[in-house]
Amino acid sequence: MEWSDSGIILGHTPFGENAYILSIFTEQRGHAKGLFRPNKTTRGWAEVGTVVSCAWNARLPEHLGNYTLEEGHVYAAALLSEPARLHALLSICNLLRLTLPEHQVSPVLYEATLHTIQQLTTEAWLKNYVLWEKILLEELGFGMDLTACAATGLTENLHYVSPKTGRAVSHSAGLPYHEKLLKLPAFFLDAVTHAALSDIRQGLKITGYFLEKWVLSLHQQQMPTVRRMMSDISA
Amino acid sequence: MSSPKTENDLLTLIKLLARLPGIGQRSARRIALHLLKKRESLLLPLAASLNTTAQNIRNCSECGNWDTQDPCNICVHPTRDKTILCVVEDVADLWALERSNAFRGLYHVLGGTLSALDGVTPNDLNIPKLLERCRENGVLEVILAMNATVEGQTTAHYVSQRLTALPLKITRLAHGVPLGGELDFLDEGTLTTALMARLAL
Repeated sequence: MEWSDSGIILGHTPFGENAYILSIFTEQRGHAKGLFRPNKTTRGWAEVGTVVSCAWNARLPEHLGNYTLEEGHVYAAALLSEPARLHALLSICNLLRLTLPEHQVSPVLYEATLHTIQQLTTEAWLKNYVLWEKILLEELGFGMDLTACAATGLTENLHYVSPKTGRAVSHSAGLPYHEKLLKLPAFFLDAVTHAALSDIRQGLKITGYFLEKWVLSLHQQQMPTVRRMMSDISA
Repeated sequence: MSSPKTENDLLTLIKLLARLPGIGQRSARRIALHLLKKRESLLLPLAASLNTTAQNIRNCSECGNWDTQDPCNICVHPTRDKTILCVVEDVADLWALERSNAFRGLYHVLGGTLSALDGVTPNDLNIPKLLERCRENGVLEVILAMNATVEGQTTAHYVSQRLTALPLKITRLAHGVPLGGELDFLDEGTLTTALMARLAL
């Protein structure tokens, strides 16, 4: 069996002395693994976050298979001296590798991931990153319901998110429970809205909370260290 | 005819040899036969050397290098510059830098890089000892000589963050065109980092 696709390298696990088991988030095949034997040339660019053209072949579809890669764009190269942005790139790849089931095709998540990685060198990188985590939650089936207030059904003046249900709560209904609810940043409701650093920090807190509570705990995994470090750097 | 015990001893040797890096079952059998043929000149000295190594080589409590003495030869060398510390991921990296003969300061082996998938957290790295050495030994410069990989550089940034409170200079190795490298054959990532780290002439 053979297939070709384009994808984002999520990481590699050493296999023997000269090979890796490569995890790639492909456009049409989802998260797919395969054996990859790097040489002097490929070792330089087969890095986490690189977008590549890949060809996979094996005798049977359930086999591990072998990857052949063609060089694409090495996004990590421009970020090596930018700690926070580099952490964001690694965090994206780590979270996908930890949470994304194999062969689950998700064009929306693929597009969002590619866009977020491409935008890591721009000014709005941190806001894009938080919105990417929100999409990740949605695509994994744990999206927040921010369409209407869980208590009153109102669609306006949504101010909080319930940490129990992930549903929005309006300002008036949530005020008595202010301490217990998570404050909803405006850019979660409308992505075009300008986001101040405090809003972004709040966004990171919300997505981080639900990723840990709903997704990572399911896989018995901890939040990656780089993701934790991101909260400190953005502060 | 060989006894079952001899066969077992030989099989054990072959199995152990086959567990070494780069050696499979076939090579292990060849090595075992070669050792047996060169019993006096190779097998016995090798066995003695392995035994001595197992008995005497230990981790340096200062830098993490392997040596017969603790602190290691590098740490106690009188002409080494004790104010410059070069932080490396692994002992293999320390040896590579030593081979270059270009660095005359001291080293510090971290013992890996941060990795969410392999479960390597900051607590698993030899960072507390690094902070202690920087604070107590009058270190003026720390060179972060991590691999130019995403995980290597993430670890470098983490270590640099931990060191910022101390009054010392933090530097890292340059990234870019290797010696003898022709631009036409270099990958896009190397060229990008080389351009970003360009120097004024």
